[in-house]
Amino acid sequence: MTSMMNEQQAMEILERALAAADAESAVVSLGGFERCSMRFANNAITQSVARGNATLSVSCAYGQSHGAASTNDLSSESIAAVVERARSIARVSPPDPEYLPPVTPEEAGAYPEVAAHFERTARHDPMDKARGVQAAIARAVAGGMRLSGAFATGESFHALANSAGLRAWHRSTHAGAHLTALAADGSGWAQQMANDVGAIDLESTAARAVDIAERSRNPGEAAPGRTTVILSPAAAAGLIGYLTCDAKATDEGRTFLRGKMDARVCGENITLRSDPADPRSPGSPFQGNGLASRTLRWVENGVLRRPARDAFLVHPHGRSDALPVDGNDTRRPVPHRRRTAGRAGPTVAVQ
Amino acid sequence: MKELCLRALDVARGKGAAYADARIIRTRRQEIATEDQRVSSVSDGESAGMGVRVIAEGAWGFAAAPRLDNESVENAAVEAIAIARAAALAKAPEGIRWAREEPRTGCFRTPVRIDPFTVPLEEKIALLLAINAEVLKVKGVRKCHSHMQFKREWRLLANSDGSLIESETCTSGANYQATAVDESTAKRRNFSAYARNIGYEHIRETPLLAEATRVGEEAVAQLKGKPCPVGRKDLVLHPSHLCLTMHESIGHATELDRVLGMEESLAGSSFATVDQLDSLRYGSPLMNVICDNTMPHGLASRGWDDDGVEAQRWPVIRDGILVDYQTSREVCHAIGATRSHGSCRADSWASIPIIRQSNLGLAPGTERLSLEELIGDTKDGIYIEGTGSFSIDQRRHNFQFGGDCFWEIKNGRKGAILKDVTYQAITTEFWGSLDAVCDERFWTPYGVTNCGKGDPQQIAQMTHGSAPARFRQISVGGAR
Repeated sequence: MTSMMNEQQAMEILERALAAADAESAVVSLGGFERCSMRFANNAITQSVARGNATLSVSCAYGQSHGAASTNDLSSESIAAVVERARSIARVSPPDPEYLPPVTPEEAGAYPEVAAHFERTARHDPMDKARGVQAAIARAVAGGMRLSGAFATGESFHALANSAGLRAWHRSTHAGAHLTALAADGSGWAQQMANDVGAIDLESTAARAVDIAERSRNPGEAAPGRTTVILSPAAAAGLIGYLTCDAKATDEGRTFLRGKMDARVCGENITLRSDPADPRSPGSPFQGNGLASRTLRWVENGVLRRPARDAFLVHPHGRSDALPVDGNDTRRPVPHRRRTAGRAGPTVAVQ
Repeated sequence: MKELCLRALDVARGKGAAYADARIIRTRRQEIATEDQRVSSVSDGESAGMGVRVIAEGAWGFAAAPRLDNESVENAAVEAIAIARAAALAKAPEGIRWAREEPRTGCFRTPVRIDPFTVPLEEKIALLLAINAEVLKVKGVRKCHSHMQFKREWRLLANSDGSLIESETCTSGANYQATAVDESTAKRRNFSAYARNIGYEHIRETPLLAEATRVGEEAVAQLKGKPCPVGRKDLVLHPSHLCLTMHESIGHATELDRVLGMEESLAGSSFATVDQLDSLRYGSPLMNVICDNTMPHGLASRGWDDDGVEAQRWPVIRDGILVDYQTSREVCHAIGATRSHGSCRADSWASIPIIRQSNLGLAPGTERLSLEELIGDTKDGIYIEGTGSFSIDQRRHNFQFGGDCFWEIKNGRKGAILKDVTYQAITTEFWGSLDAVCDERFWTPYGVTNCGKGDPQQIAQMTHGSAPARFRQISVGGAR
């Protein structure tokens, strides 16, 4: 398949879209991916899927009235049509008092260096995956268990251009596997995710799942009531999202974080930060509106420092770099985030 | 388009496919979102492409192409074969047992009186802003969000059985949410024109604006609502609430791929195992659950599924006993069936078809019974409307549900509003406590448009209908 593009190919399409968008301001973006995945269950591969797509999104504005349209047909006629759809929406939409014009290159700031693309992940083929799955299944069978899960790799790109002269480009690869080992009276789950498929070892991940399943046999009853629980990194990570509320909703008293800014929300050994350039989990160097991604501290030594906020809330009358901004097209940003372990080590204790 | 599908099938067969299908899907979506008196977003998206699915060397392969030309679809067919051959390295020893199906030809179209894509955007925006304005007039309401969504989906399916099936569906829905805030908390109340496969007439015929004041007032009332009691209560559940309870505790539990462990690692499995077919007491004798993909305006109604199987109506639970499952051509043999019920759907051209919930509902009671009479017959209970948070285990057996609005029932009268109500139960015990279902006059369909399943995840839509029903002595308040 050919949904992936290089920077030049993507920018050529974006320039055509921008040229067609005869609006006061316009933002166009092109996102594409290719992904290959294999699912397995009961010790056999059950689904094998290869797919790709590239979608052009166009946002046009007249004054504070804006509209957006998208298409995955990248022909010249289709580009003209999608631009016209966005323009026609903008023309009839009432002014949005929270609309902000496109980000200029100066406002965007310097993008961090992010190493998120690995050629061997991009080239990883179905037979590579099948062999990995086969090895994982063999490990589970040797342990007398049934294995299910999925192994996927993919490559994606995001290109952005706007009428203020900003141009941005990023590409990345992704690999991940999650496995469940089932014994007669127990189960174990394990996961590995990385941008470099070379960091994924399915057989050892299966061994971990089998080990957990083995140790989970003969479970006892957990009495209702309060107790101390230890969460694995994956389980703890699943809860982190609930600590993110958007600033507007919080300011208006609509989230549980109301009134908690600069207050203690968890143990002082907990710090929550996001770092797009962290090589263990690289994010995008820029946000959906083109502003540079930055390293942010959300919770510092247990104290809430800032809920997620979009550009408008940071500076209602323009734009300021006095505060870090993580606004994107959805206006409800989901920040890239990594928990920094304190003295608790790789797990978080919750009372 | 037909020629492109047939070309993909030719290439797949030429490369050794024992079975192949090719689907072209063209989708257009429009979404409008408002916040108070602000239009926060209007988007209009379209997507088209072809997915090619094959069985080769006893394994599945699927590849999707976003471009609709000969070269792209041929490449997709070749890639589907290649990936199937790779998957054969670790295929099931018995391979794929693919149920026979007669070739089908036909065309299905959602009955639509008013095409939502022809309705001026200004009219839609004006309605949403008018709703918000009305809600915001209620003292204590701080925020109102409203939303409309429309989808038109055209698909053409050709398979190596000789089937050639076309469908065009149109989905319309709208909803709004009032949020009331006081010095200590925030409470929400929702109202919807629940999504249906229908035209814009659905929006015009639903009293969205007329209900706005009541919705705002009920959001405010919840601020001062009595806390959820702790203990056991009789629950009277409105269809707008039961739709989610049915979806999670019956719909997913009776998907045969889950039952067979094929979703074990992500979505989970099911307690309703095949060895219990025709014997598992799922609920009380009043519990009759019907799947119906022929339902007019049902979100899963589109004539045929992506296996090329004609839409059907069948019971999965009869008089409280598990009697069937939602099946596909791949797995129906596991319960001794020779034919699928047609529950296999893909959410887009880029997705492989998997078992998805059908339009599934609780049959109405046969005795004449209204909601007022049901409440009147309840001494100490809670009445729940709308959906809220939920949690259910991997086997669909142990669950907790919230809701959107709650009222105390005392001595046959609907009383004060409660807040933060949750109930907890084991699926079979919950449905076993069902002791009354209102009659068909009160049977109402509700749409679910965000059902996630699969890996890569697919988002499916389906309709769940019921009449108000009562469940005796359910544990409430356990989440406090």
